Amino acid sequence: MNLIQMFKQKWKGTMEFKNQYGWKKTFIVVKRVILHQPTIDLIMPLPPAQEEVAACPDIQQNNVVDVKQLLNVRYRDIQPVQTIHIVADHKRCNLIIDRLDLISLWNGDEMAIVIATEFARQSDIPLRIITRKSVAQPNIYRKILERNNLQPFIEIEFYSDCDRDNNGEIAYKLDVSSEDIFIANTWWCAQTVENISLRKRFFYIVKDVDEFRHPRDEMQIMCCHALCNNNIDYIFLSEMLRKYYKEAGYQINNSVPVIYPLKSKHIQISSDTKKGEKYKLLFMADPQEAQSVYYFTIRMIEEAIQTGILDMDNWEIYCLGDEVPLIVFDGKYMINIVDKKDYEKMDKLLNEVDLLIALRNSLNVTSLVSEILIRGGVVLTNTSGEERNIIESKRLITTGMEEGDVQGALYDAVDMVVKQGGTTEKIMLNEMNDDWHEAMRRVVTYMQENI
Amino acid sequence: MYELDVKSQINNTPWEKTRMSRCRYLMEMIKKGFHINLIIYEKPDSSTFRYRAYNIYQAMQNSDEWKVVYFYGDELSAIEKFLAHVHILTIARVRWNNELQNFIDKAKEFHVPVLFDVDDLVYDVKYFSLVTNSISVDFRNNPDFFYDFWFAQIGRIDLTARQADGYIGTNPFLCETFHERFGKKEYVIPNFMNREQIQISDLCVKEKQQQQSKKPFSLGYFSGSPTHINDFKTIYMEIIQLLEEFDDMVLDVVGYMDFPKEMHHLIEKGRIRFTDPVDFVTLQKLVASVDVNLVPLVVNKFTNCKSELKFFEAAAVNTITCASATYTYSHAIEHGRTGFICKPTEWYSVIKDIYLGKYNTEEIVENAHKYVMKHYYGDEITNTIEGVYNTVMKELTNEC
Repeated sequence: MNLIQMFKQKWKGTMEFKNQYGWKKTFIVVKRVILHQPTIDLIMPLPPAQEEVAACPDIQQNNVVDVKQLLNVRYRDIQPVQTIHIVADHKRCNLIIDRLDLISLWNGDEMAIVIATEFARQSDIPLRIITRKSVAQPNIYRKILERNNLQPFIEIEFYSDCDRDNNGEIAYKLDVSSEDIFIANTWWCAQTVENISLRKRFFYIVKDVDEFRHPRDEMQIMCCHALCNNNIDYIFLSEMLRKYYKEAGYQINNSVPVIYPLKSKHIQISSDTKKGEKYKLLFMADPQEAQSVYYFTIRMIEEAIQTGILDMDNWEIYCLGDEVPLIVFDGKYMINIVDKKDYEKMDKLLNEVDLLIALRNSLNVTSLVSEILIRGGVVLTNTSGEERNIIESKRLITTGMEEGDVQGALYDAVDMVVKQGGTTEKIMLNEMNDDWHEAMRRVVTYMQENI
Repeated sequence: MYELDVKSQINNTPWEKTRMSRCRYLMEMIKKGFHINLIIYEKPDSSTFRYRAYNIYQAMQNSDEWKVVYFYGDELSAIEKFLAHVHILTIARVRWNNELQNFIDKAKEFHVPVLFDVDDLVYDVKYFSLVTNSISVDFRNNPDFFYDFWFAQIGRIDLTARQADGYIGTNPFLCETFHERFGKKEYVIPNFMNREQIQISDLCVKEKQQQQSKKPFSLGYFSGSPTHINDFKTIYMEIIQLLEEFDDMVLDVVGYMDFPKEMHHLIEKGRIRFTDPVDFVTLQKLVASVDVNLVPLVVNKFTNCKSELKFFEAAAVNTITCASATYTYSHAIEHGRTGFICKPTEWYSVIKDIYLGKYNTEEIVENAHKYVMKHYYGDEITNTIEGVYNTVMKELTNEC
């Protein structure tokens, strides 16, 4: 390649980058490349705690770090919600979650919202959703109920302390009475409940093995302490999770219910929904989420490209994320990042995805697996055993986490995508999930018996 | 929105009468043999004083049995001599002090029943946390100062309240709290409108009826103040959704408060417009000019005690109201017929449907207007107040 051709290629790449990320980021990257400065810190951001700490002006004064402020930033998620105590004459259901916004549609909070709503509805009590990382969006709540074929529920209120200061303090506090029943679905929200609830017992919806999030750091220790709590009444989103927790020594008895996410029973997808010149591969992995095995996933994709399993003349690669780095496969194939907050774009993309790679070191089956299957795509996921408990489809390919196995499964998946062409398939929910309403009734009954 | 050019000479501080003229009026009414209720309020203002003292004084001018005169906290020593001739003494939301105590004691010497009148939970220190939290008092900086300040405010009113023989509230929910606390008699006199409000409202309605609403479609919020920020925040995400979806919709705010950062871009674009706080007469004109009157409230015991005045003020000028489902608004508004009760997640769809013309808004505002003119002004109010005072005389004079 001569100089002119090289320049043209570089210029084209630069312009593509600029079109996606703007002039400012382009300038920064180009400057660093020219000056041989590491671009790693741009494309591979620091873990959130360090980044937040570094950015926090309260902390660093003359290079002296205030420990209290440092810990406030690090442990922000488990700062108690500030409360006032009131006397109430009726029960109220309270769900504490990180957020109720577009990200909630894909991050597993959806089921917690559904369960809390149905519990409140069937118990004829109001529901309050408390969010800690962003202000609740009422239209998203409505959308979640619609997506799950549920009637609107209006005995609802929202509270957020996302704009609490670094010390966790806020002017407008949450009012709490002994009639407030709490539900959490992450260990840090469970910790919050423990600090603020005037009732001893509370419900914990298990969507994953929480300690898997934390690779042997102090958060893992705190997670275990938070969940080793005899005052917790568990609800599991899969049988595998219930089994794991029981074997791990938590107080789980056979009456503890399991409910899988609801999906329509029979769905027929038209092949017309898949259009476009290239096939679309979507992987869901986040470097900030340990269980998503981000580096393993991108390594597997990189290898598949190198070995020709993925012919990049025919494939585009997408990544779903909030703050995921912009990476380039094989030195030239830039991924397309889709912001989880852009629901319309997300929804459109999911309809067009041909292959989802969902490798995870967890027992949670991400809702995207069933979403893609329902929309006619092929899914490659590692075996946790739960996938087939939820949905039966020949387009669901499972693999172990040995590299050879993954490459082989990827080969089969790509082959299936290319060959399936205009075929359609009726898919059915597994019998275990046959009657979602019956499962929900059991969950609600269990909750009513334990309040 | 409506562009109104109502010009009026209506007095926006009609309660400004010298002490001399009020004393003369009192003496005249005593001479004519009327039953007298003295209402004591700390200082005149355009809000609680107007509703709980001035409006009642005005309404009872039409009564054949009772007359009301109002006096202020710094006039007690001057009017003490009248206590021998009055039939009821009403202390309206007055903070305790020694002079007030002496005045109350004097009234009791003359066996005059003492009533305590208040329009929210500020009378009971038990509700300190709820009250201060609801109005967003920020204790983070200089907490001792603010605790002392607010405890003094509420504590002093509490001490006044304890002296009373009976209680007057604006609605049954509030009166129930009196009963829980004091176990004495309680009576309801709702908030209602005065002649000046009606006069300006009539002028506004006449002008409105001669025009169609023009773009932009205006949502009005008339409680702009820091104490109401939490109330507004119950709907702001839905309002953002509306303003982003409909380019010809605006939010008109009377008053100032720190809007959430998610709304700043709309403020910069002029989609959220601000007007300085105005007097109660001018306020009616502003309410008349908007298409929808927004009354969002956090629903709790504190707001359940508050009266429905934002509804009847708007109905008087033929403006539709969307209100939160507090006790009083739920009872005052018939959803879909005289206005709308909106719960979280419903504001967006209801306002959107109003904007798109899916409701017969003319019929709704007419129904609301008729309803409030019957129940919040005129003979029904005069009769209600007379009834309360007569009941007080029957129930409390033997006990005093």
